[in-house]
Amino acid sequence: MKFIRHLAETLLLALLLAAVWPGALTRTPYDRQFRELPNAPVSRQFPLGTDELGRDRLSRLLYGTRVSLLAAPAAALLSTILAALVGGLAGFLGGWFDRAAVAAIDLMLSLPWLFLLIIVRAMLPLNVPALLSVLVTFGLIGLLGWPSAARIVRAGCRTLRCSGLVLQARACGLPKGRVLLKHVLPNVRPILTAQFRASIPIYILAEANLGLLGLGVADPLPSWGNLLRPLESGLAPDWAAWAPLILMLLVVSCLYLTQSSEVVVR
Amino acid sequence: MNPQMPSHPSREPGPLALWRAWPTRALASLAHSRFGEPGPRLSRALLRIAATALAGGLLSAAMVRFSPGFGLDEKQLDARLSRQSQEAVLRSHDQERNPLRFYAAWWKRVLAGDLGFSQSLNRPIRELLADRAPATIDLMLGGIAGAWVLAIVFSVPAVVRRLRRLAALSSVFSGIAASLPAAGIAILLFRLGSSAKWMIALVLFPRLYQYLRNVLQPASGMPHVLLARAKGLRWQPLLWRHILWPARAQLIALAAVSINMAFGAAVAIEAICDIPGLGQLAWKAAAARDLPVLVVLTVMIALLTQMSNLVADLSTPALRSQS
Repeated sequence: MKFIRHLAETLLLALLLAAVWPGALTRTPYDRQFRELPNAPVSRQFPLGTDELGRDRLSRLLYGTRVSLLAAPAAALLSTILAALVGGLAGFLGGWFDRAAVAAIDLMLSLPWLFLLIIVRAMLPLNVPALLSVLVTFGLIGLLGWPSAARIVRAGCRTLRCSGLVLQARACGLPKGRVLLKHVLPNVRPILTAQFRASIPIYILAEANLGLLGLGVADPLPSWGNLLRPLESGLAPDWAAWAPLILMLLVVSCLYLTQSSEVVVR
Repeated sequence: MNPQMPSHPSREPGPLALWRAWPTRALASLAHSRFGEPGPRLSRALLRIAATALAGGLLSAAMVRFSPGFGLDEKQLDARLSRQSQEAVLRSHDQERNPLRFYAAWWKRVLAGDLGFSQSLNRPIRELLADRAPATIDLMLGGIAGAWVLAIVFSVPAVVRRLRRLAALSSVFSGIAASLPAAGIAILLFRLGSSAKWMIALVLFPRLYQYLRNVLQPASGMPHVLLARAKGLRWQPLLWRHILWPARAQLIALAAVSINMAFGAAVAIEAICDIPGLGQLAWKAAAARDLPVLVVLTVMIALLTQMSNLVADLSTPALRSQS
């Protein structure tokens, strides 16, 4: 198992490097259109062929990997910070804030994650610049992804609230905010780290779902979600069109393998 | 002889009889206050469910109201309409501009039996729900059943009969399914000519499989299970009486959770496969900012999820009392 985990980590690192420096593997910009070569088959010039607009699929896949692999951790960070704030304050303060936070968490968790995501994203403007669509899509995923993590953080903080170290700190006259920041949150850091890591593959898949429904990152900027859109059209795609799905399967599997002991429910 | 042990174990009701009796017992427990103070507990739970559904509806009303493009109607672009007609089209959204007022009026109409009118689909919402609900219910029931069958087939023999190769194969299969987006699974199976129910089943399978293994694995390592195994008990009674039966409360909770998961998957799958169900309705309504439809769907789904969780919660003490 250890060997498989190391292999997965190495593969992820290699993919991350390729995504950060796609110029090392391809010289073609992701939005350059070879208008005379639409739907070109696999060749030495285009190792994965071209799409219906004559754009190099390999180049788009590498740049799309960059978007998905860098934006998903950013969204995971946002939701983890929100979970730490809401769950930490609810568990530590108790009282009306705790009740309000639990009600909000219950409400968010009573709606299926994908349903909520699709509904909220569809309500936001879709005709926006490509870079803004990345911010909107992943920002939304991060903003809606905190409840399950907040519930776990709240449980951890509630336990710590009555622990000896917190009682002693409060008896010494430390203000509540300082106790929370200095003594409670550092003790739930393992929970937060696990939630952060476990959220990344979930958010990659969420963006892919949105992209496939036409609600994700806008063209011409590639992402794994919008690269999968040609598969949804009625035309029979060639094998190279499946490359984004295969790459996503590989990356998400590797992410799961590197965190096999951490389980998140969503 | 131990006085606490039943003198005639054969006269005890079997697991099947107990399974059949649990709804009656759950309701009886509420009526006769057998488990602590179930009366107040139930009323609190119902109150919480009502509050969650109310808040969910209000949230969706507020979200739609403040989303960009609210109140615009493509009919306004119709050059054939006179100025008065265009003003009338604009005024048709007036009552929706204040979400609180809209929501209060909406509840008043709902309590009178009127769910409202979908402006984007130009039909009463009640009719839309009646037309589309059967397709989604059929899809969800078939998908949930398929996912449970797959999860049981892959997890039970691997855990109970300790088939390591099957366990490894199941983990790989579940890992692959968990690493694909629901919409990706839908496209893949659609290309292979599979039914939409199998798409839902495959989306749900990895989660159910993981939970089921987590429930069954510790149960199969319990001392009484090991003793029964050492005494040569066959695997079917071992599984039923000593592994599944003690874990029934968790399994019911898992069944309740799978309803929520199935609806989430149904939205993407119905949109991809063009199935005229509630999921597709939600997607279309969101794209058209159809406030009344979205509020009805949000309240309905919040209620469904909360009620299924309540049934699971209520069944736990009722089932424990039978042990």
